[in-house]
Amino acid sequence: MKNKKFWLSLIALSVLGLAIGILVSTFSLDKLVFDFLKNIGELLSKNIFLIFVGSILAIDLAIYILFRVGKKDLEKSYKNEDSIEDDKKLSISIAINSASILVAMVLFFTYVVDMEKTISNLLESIAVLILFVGHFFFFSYMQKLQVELLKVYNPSKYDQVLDMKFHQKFMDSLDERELFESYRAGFWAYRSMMITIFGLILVLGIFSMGMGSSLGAVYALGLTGLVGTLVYLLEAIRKK
Amino acid sequence: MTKILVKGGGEMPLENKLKDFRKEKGLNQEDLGVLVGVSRQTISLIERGDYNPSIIVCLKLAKVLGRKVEEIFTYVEEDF
Repeated sequence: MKNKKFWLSLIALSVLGLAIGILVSTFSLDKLVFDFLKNIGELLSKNIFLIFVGSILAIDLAIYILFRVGKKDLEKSYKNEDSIEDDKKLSISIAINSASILVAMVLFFTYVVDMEKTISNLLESIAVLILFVGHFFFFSYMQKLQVELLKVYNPSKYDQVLDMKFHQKFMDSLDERELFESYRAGFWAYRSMMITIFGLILVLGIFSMGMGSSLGAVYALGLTGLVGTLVYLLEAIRKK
Repeated sequence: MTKILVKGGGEMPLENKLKDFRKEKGLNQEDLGVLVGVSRQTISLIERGDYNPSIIVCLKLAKVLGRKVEEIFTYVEEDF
């Protein structure tokens, strides 16, 4: 039964690949997709200041609101002695806070990549820099609040976020169930990232071949994938 | 005594009397968690049958509650 599923999947993927190949060659789909992405890039570049300001403020507001609502949910769930902690919104706030650093960096570099524009709009550039640095402070502040709240309901958790070894010490303060959940989440995150990296290398590699553009992004993605695989291997073979 | 089916790995059914024994001792979930070295949430999930603890936690629970592990967690044979 498993073999049948495998072969059917292989045939389906082959047919899909054939269909995409025909579409690409008949309608110059690669050029259409490249032009579409280029237009998106130009639109982003043209409105980057508004996009940067709007995104950072929206993300920070979402983090804060989810934290406040999550805190209320947690307090409410603790009123009943034997109830399960309702920490979903707080967890989402923590996740968005972590991801916000990547978003801020991507948008910031998209802004500064056009150095001529950056220098000519000095006031705008200063505003972007202040917002960018301000976001890092906001991120640290929210992380501190989130960990402090978790510590109220889980006093054994390590909460010194400014400690260079915070993540290691935090993991050490988890009980067996929490460790299991962390490792499970970590495994699925690793797997999703590897599939995404593989897909992006394939797509960007094909585009680079067709358009003659730089392979820098492909190398960076490849290196990221290798680092992830190496860390996974080292953890898997570690005895303790 | 309340009997709650515990979700085991695969098809393994367990009966769980942790909540009853805990209340007998006059402990809340947080107190029991501190004594055993796990979080309140973990105790809650064990009682609900949503988490199967390791043997170490089972032994610690038995020691704290003054019971045998087999009294707290019982493997139930399925009738076919």
